[in-house]
Amino acid sequence: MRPPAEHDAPGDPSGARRHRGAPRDAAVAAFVLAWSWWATNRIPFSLEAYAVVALPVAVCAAGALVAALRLPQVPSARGGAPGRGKPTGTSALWLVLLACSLALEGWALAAGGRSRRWPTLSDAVDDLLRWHGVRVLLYLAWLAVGLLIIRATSRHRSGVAEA
Amino acid sequence: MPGDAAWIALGALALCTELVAVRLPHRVAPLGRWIAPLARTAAGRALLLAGWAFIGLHLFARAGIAHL
Repeated sequence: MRPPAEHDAPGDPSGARRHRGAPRDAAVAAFVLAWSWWATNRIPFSLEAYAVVALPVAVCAAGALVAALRLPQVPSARGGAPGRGKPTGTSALWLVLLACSLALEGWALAAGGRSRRWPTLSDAVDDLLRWHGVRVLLYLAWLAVGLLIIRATSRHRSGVAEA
Repeated sequence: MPGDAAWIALGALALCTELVAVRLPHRVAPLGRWIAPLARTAAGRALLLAGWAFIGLHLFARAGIAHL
């Protein structure tokens, strides 16, 4: 018999919840990794290849819908002023990266579009997608962006609801 | 190829920028802050989902074991 731990007390269930959450998080991470490995090894343009994209899109759409229905409707945020106390870092780095990307894409298109020396973003990604490991990493990054979309939806709504 | 290297460098820089932004959001804006204004309206959310789905199809529906 295990002696009752301090964090198991009914008044402070956070420690127990954290302990229960760790194996669950590990299981979810393992599942996502295994799914990504399998999903990025399908025959191109097959039903499976479309399904491995459609399924996360359906889950993300459902998640965004649930987030939208569960939280109160947002009053019109005209003006879009950020909430007080929110950190407001600069977007300059992103703008520089965007400008560099556009310049490189323009240069590649000016070089003929199919240049091996200066490929467009699509051609460069095609080259990289030859490796399964790269496909898995990109797929995981793509899934993370989907999660970001759901979180952006729910955070905005809950943030306004709290105000 | 210089072009491939440039794209990889830009991707790595974007990843580093996001990692810095997550740790220091008062210094650098994370990507989520660009998404938030779009997520305010139903049309914006639909646009975000559609763009995300298009990127997924563009990248992963046509790349698979045939490349090996």
